[in-house]
Amino acid sequence: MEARAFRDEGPKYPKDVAVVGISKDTVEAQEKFAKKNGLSFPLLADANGEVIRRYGVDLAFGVAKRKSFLVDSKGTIAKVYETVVPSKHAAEVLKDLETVR
Amino acid sequence: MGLFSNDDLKPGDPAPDFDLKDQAGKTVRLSGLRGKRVVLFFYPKADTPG
Repeated sequence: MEARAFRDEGPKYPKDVAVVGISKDTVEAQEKFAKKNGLSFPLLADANGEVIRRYGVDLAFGVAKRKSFLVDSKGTIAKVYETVVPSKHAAEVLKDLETVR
Repeated sequence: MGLFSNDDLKPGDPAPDFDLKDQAGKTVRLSGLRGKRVVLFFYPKADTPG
């Protein structure tokens, strides 16, 4: 739902915004997921959970909980989303992009 | 909260760099996206409704 929302909202996103998903999956699982849902943005395979840990994303039942970060063009974290409602998230981020450079 | 702290990343902190493979097997490096704004979303599992 969340990834598909980014797919659907994608055309509204400014061109200088990269949407990137990360989960504790293999490249093969990400490929299947991307194909099944027609996702064209990168879905990164963090199979050993290293990046998930580095970003302080909690694991529940061995998988990452939903959490998002908005990173500005200089590589600085501009916003942390501790609570993500999949159906509303892509629109929420789009609104925040108005104030993040 | 030093540079090596794992949690409590907050606005104003540098986003930790990483490189991971995408669904096509292509390596994506966060620092390689510099100049763009990046929406980084962590999600549970590729094979569940996500």
